[in-house]
Amino acid sequence: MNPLLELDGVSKSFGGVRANTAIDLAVGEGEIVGLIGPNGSGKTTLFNSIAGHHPIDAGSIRFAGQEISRLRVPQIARRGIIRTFQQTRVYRRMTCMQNMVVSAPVAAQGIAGMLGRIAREDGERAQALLDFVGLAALRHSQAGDLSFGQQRLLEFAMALMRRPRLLLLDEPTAGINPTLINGVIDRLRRANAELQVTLLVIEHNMRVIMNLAQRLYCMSHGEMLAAGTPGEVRNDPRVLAAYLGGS
Amino acid sequence: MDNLLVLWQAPTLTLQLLIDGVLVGAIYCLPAYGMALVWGVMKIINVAQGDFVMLGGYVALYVSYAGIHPMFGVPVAAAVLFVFGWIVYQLVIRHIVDRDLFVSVLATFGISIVLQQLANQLFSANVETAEANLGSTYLFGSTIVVGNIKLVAVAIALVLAVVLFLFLKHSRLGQAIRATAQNPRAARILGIETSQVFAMTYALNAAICGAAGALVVQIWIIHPYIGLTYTIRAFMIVVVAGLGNIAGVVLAGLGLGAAEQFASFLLGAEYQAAFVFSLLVVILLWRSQMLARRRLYLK
Repeated sequence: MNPLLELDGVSKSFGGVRANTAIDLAVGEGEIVGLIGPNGSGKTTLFNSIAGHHPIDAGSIRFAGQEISRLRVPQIARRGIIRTFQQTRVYRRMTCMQNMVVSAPVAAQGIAGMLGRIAREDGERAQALLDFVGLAALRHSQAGDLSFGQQRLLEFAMALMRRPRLLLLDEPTAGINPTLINGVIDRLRRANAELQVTLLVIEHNMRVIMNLAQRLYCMSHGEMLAAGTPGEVRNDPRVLAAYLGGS
Repeated sequence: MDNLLVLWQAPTLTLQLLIDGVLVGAIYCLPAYGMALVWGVMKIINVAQGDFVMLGGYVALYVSYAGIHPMFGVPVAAAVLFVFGWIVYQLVIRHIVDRDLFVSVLATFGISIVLQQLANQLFSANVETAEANLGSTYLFGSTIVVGNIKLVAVAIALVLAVVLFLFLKHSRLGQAIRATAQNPRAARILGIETSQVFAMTYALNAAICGAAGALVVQIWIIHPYIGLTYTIRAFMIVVVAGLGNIAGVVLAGLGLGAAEQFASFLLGAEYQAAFVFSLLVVILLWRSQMLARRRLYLK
């Protein structure tokens, strides 16, 4: 399996607080990898580092074999890494379709690409992806009028609109009605299988992540504690100690 | 009071003032719309707005000095100011995006002073105007006279507003501008170069002001220190209309134009500027009261 994302000794501090210490992590092309750990273990900081929200202090982040740790957020996004947040970030005063279309990748980079009109194929793809996440009937609704769960799905569809190679999903099922969670898991799997999107997922819902991920990483206090299959990580005594507070 | 009686007794005069006011207001809408755009997208109050109008006026003036009709100065001023706005963004504005609103007021106030002094050095402090020589239209048996230049200016202002509206609604960049205004962080993670969107927005705003200035110099006058009155007017219109409300900007702009004309007639032309500034105080008090009431309601 080709490594798509490789983190090697990534460290990040905020003042005196070490949020990430010498993190090694690898995600292969086509994989679904989970990232778990108690609150405050540094998972979101790691996502922010990968997506370029802040520079790292040490180590390297390679995507498709190329160093990306010095690139800015939009540059990383254009390389094919898109992330979502715990709180949804949709454009509330635009319709679902407009949210989708504005998320389409532009053939030419920067302003030159943006000066053109909205292509018809972008509209068709937006429609198909809204259908994929079950929001086709709401395509002309304002994003701000959708329920939190629907905004989550819209944000997911917007991320797919950019044709990402790697999606970083920060708690994709948080705040979603439990009856809809299986639908979300199903769509994540289908995006992975049908659209060839590699997934790296932070998730607190153990049932979801054990069910979804092929491999798991567990962090605690900013360090990588364990890695392996869901079964291996679940039975690792260090992971149990981190979650249950034992020694 | 006497003048009020005159208005009552001569309805055609009232109509004349109303028409003049609406025509004047349409020109005010342009810098106001640009200000709303920059404020909404970049969270920056551009105090140099009126100075861009002033520069646009000088560009059109120099076009007329070259023997070309000053109306051709409108696209030239828009193009020159677009480039100028882009440069100002790269030199100053990009350093203050994401900072406190007060920082933006101070920085753009500084730009305004620099532009005034530069204009004074380059063009002198003389009051200038560019003659359009387009004649007048007479209505109701010549009781109402409208300068054709005003009609042309309003038509250009309307066309520009419609083009801008369609551009923001249907173009890729327009959508990117709207998306960036609503959620810049989301825009960045989805690959939109928000710094380029900001630069484009600021340059576009300068271009709109430039076009407005090219119209102003043909209808009224310009001098290096005239910018502030246009900044104040734009600010007032945006405060009344709110951000992201094109129809509101147009209505508030036309309303301000009409109010100014009537105030100028009733109080005397020498009090026109005083009226504008007083109206600003009243509007700010009214707005802050509305916000306080809303806060009370939300408690």
